[in-house]
This record gives sequence, C-alpha cells and structure tokens, in this order.
Amino acid sequence: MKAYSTLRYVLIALVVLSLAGLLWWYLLLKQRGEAIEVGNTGRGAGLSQPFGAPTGSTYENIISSLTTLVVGDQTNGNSPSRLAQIGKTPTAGFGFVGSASTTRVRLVERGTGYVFDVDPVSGSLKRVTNTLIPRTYEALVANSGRVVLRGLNEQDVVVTIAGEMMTSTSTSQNPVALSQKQLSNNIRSMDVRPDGGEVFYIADSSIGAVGIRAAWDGSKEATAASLTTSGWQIHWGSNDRLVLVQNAADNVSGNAYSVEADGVLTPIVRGVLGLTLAPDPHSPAILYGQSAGTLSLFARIDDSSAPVALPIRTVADKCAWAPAQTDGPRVAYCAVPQTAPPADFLDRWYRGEVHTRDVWWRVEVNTGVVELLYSPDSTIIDVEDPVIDAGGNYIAFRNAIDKSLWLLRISK
Amino acid sequence: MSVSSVRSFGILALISLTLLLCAPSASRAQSQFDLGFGTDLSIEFSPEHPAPKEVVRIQARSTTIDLPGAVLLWVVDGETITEGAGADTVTVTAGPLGSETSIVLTVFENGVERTSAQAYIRPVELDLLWEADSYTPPFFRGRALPSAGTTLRLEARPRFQRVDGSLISTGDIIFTWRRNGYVIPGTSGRGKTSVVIEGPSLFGTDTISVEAKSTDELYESVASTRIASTEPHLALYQNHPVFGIAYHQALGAENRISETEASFSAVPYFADAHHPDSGDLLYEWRVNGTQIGNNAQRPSAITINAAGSAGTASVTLALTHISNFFLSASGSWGLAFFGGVTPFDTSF
Repeated sequence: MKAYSTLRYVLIALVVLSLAGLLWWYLLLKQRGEAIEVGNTGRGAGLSQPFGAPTGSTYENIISSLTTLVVGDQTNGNSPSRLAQIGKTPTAGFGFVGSASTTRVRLVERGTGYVFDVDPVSGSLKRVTNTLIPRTYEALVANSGRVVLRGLNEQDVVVTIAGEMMTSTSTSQNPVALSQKQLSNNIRSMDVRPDGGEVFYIADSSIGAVGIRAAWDGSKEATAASLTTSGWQIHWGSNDRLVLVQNAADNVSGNAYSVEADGVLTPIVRGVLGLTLAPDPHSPAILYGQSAGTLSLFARIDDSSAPVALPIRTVADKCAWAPAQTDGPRVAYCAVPQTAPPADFLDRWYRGEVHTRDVWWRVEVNTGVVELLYSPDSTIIDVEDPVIDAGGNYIAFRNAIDKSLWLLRISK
Repeated sequence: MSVSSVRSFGILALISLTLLLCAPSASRAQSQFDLGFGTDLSIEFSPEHPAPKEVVRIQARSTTIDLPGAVLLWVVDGETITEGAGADTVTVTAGPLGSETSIVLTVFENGVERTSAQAYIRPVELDLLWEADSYTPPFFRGRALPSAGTTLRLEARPRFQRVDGSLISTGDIIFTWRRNGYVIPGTSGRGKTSVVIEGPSLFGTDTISVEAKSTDELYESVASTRIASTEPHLALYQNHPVFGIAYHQALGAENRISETEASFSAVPYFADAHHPDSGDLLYEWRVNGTQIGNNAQRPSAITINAAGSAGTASVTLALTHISNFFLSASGSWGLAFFGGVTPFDTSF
C-alpha cells in the first residue's frame, strides 16, 4: 500500500514536471518567435510587395503626387500646377513617347523595372508592363516606346536588356509582359536612336574601348568607332547625329566628337575644362558647359560660328532643347543653381555628394538672351536629364536628390 | 692651300654649321626661307602650330639684318598686308582645316631687296585624351582620375588634312610621346596614337605631351596636358534592398536613416582596383570605435541592425592596399536610426 502511494506521488510529480516543462518550452518558443517576427519586420517582411497588385505601389505614389499640388502657381482652381512630381520613388529612366498631340511620359521604375505611362495633361497613369526587373539602375526610353534597362547582376556585372511590349497596349488596360533581349555585358554607356531602331554603346576592347552600333535588340553589331578611353557619354539626336562626350571632371580638359558614318570622329568641342555638352537633337547647335572653379555655359548655333557665353551659370547636363521650329530662334531651357556651387561641383555632383536648388531659365541661343522661366517657391529640385516633349509643352526631368520624376509645364 | 684659304674655309664651315643649327627651329615653325651667307632671315609663328581659324602672330627674325631699320614687305596669299620700316610683326588668321596660307616676307635695305623668306600656315588639330584605370562605380558619369599606382591611357587624335581635303592616316604620322619633357621609351613611332603608362606618383603632377608629324614633314603639331595624381576618395551609400546602391545620395557627416536595419556600401573612387571588393583592398570598419569583422564576400559593405537601439552610430572606415602602400583613404559618418530605444547596438 505504501509502495503504491509512493508510486502515485512519483507519477503525479512526473506529470507536474512534464507540464511545467511543456509550459517552459511553449513560453520559450513564443519568445523566440516574437524576436524573429520583430527581426523580420525590421527587414521588411510582411510589408506589401511592390508587385502583385494590378498597378503596384508605384501607382499609389504617382497618383498621390499628380492629384496633389506639389508646388507652383495654380492659376485657377481647375488648372494643374506647372510643376508636378510624377513619382515619388526613384526612376531609372524616362522619355516622351507618342506624337505631339498624344504625348505621354513613359517611365521605368528603378525598384521593379515596371514601365508606366503618364498623360501629362490629365495626369492619368497606366502601368504598361508587369515584368519584374528589380534594381534597374538606368533606363533609356525611345520615342517609339521601346526601352533599354540596365542593372547589375550578383557578380556586379552590368547587364543590359532591350525591352519591347509584348502586345499593343492601345486597347488593353492590363499590363503586358516585356519581351527581353539581353545585350552584351559590361556596356559602359549607351544611347538609343530616338526612333528606337538602333542602339549605340561603348564597351571595353583589346585596344581600350570600342563604339558599337547595333539593332535595338543587340543584333547586327558593327564597330562604329575605335577608342582608347572608355569613359564617354552618348547623345543620339533626331537628326541622326551621334555625339560622344568625354566623361567630365572639374578642371580636366574634355572633348566631344561626332561619330561619322565611316567611323571618323569629327571634333565638336575641344579642350574645354570640365566639359559638359547638350547637343541640339534637331540641328548642329550645341550648349556646352565649363567647370573650372566656376561654372560657365556657352552656346554655339553651328559648327562654324563662334561660341557665345551665356549669362547663366550651370552645367549643360541641366539643359534641354525645345523642338525645332520653322522660324524663330533656337530655344533651350536650362535649370540653373540659385547659389554658386562649390568649386569642385561637378566631381561632387556626379558622386551624389552635393545637390543644387535650381530655377528654370529660357535661353534664346541665337541671341544669347535668357529669361527666367519658372522658379519653384519652396520645392528643392536638382535637375538632371531634362527632356522636352515633341510639342514643346512639357519638360520632364529627374530630381537628382532622390531620383524622383518631375514634370514642368512650359507655358503659364 | 694658303693659310688665308684655310682661314676662309674655316669661317665658311662655321657659318654653315650655325645655319644648320638654326634650321630646326625654323622648320618647327613650318617656315621655309632662302638663306644667303650673311643674310639669315626666319619667320616664327606664335602659336607654333596654329589651329584652324586661330590668330597667328608672325614675327621676322634675323641676326645679321637690322630689321628695325629695314623695310619689310609682308604678302599673304599674294596680297600685301603690311609694308613699312621695322614692320617685323604681323598677325594673320589661319584658314580652316585643310587650308594652306602662304606668307612671303621680303626685306629691303636702302630700296634694294636684301633677302626674302617664305613660310606656310597649315592649320591642324591634335587632341590628347586620357583617363585612368582607377575604380569608378557603374554608371558613373565622371572621369576616372589617376591615383598612386594606377595606369593612364592616353590617345592622340590628329586631324591633318591636306589641301585636297584628304585626311592623313595616322599610319603616316610619327608620334613622339614625352613625360615631363623626356621621351617615354618604347611608346613612340609611326602610327603610335595611344600609350598606356604609369600614372603620376603620389601627390605628383606630370606633363604628358605628344608630338605628331606627318612623314612628309609638312604637317606637325604638339599637344600636352598636365595630369595630377589624386587621392582615392571614399564615399558611403545606402544599399537599399529594392532600389540598390543609392549612388545619388552620398552620406554626409550626419545622416538620419529611416529604417531599423540598413546596409551600406563604400565606394573607393579612383582607387587602384577594378572592383570595390577586390582582394587587394583592405577595409577596416569601426562602429563607435569598435572594429567590426568584414563580410568576406563584400568587405566594402556593412549592415547595421539598430533594433532596440537608439543614438547615433559613428562609423569609420579606413582603406589601404595589400601591396600599394601609397593607397590610403578614410571616411567617417554618423548614422542615426529611427526606432531604437536603447543605446545603439550593432549586429553584423
């Protein structure tokens, strides 16, 4: 009897200990689970994905900015602001597509590689593609609508993809897949012919570097220029003029050339310190900047005329040419820093270490006359890569501070 | 042979030698002149190798003629532009590329033609391009500048155009490359349009020049550039999981990071490397003074988790090279994360 009682107490003790152990195990797991959940939340787990929804998170960002006055002089209650932020997220690249009457801004989101179209008049937004291409660092948009997306793979190799919408989106409201053709790896710099038919890019070669001209999908590659140095910026105008500009640095001599059909490089600008260049895509005119302690901007109407110093201090990277007109002067629009940038501005600007606060000026290149076009009151914009639509009504540009895309209506 | 004959021969030889020594200087100025004994006359251009449409200062030189007292007649392409006593300098605008401007100078003394000289302005273009093989990140729009231990690539781009409009092939041009005035061994010769040479030494500045001369010696030019060595520059960027490295937003001395955990990438601009994670580069990260072990695959990157932490993390980074002892760069950044509640802590 006594042995039975002892056994019963031992069993009860075992049960209690087991229950206590299980309780301890439960609490331990729960605590660890909470810790993991906190960590995952910190790493972004559980947040809404940038894809999956019909439009994606960018849609919300863009809509919120287009339906909200960002800054500007709203002339009446129904007129949109002259200056609007199209997207809040970083934009890899953008351009105007369509004709003057049907123009729209086509943009490529940096985080996802999704392509969007924005109507600059109504502000309506349409997502064009649903093909996820994360971390798209750079994108080119041709007038035809074709896009080129550039990014880095896991080995930090520069990967370039030429993309085209799988089907026409003129009638469909749903995003379509982006057909992709991968071009050569490690392309240094490139540009697309405005009609989207060809690409030109700089790649390393045994002799230093080479300029390659190819069909838009990378086929039919042909050497168009032999180079020793590989650091070039490329401008391909509507007049089929292909211009190479040496990568710039403050107080360092730079040159720019036109690539002729036979591969000869014809000088456009020679030996300018801190050279930046904005060639007119419609004529031989150019704007070029000098960065040598201070910024200077010059205009030249054609190859034979003497350059004219303009009374605005900025870099040509902040300028865009208005469409060609049958009569009247050649006009360009330049964003000009409101305060004098530091002496080593160009180097630091390219490294993302310094930003400017710009206002827009209109430049009549023939006469050298400039006038203030638009000054944002409180919004800080550091303009880069400005482009103008075919109708000459809008300037789209990226804010170098956060790579967000902005739109300025030229007329009041 | 008499003594006087020997003496006369010696004097003639000395004069001839003097004229021979004078000749190269005049030929550099692309001038041709008619010399008689005792009547040397040369024409000098400034600049020595005019570019198209450039204003050229042309000066007469003589060691035996009293030019200020003589009457000088200048004829350019058959037209008299100046005639007068002591008119030893004129200015002429060079023609376009491929043009040839004839300059004829005639010197009169006491109304009698004493001598004359002729030269041609054949404007040419010669560009000297360069960049270093130092590191710059993908999509960087700036020039790759040289730092100690890096290599320079230089290219001469001549445009020597004949009167008939044809361009002289670079294979018919002799290039002579110099560093600080001294010929760079093994780099010069016919068609040698490009060179790859060591960059300037630490804190040094080199003057690199290239002389280009057509094989018929009618066309010639010189281009030079001063290239200074720069120190590698460390910049720190946030590496966003969605957007990638934010090359457009270099972190400053003080930064507010709107996340609990964030990754950062250091970019060693202009360093002697082809990749920021090259095994040749040595990174030493410190957070609040404590050295942090490097990520083996990505030593240029660091991830900071500030969960449950507060305050500002002082991040410092020192960069050196495994064999290039002149490579040294450092940077420091203050990073304040939102969301922390206790003193800053890190986990890597």
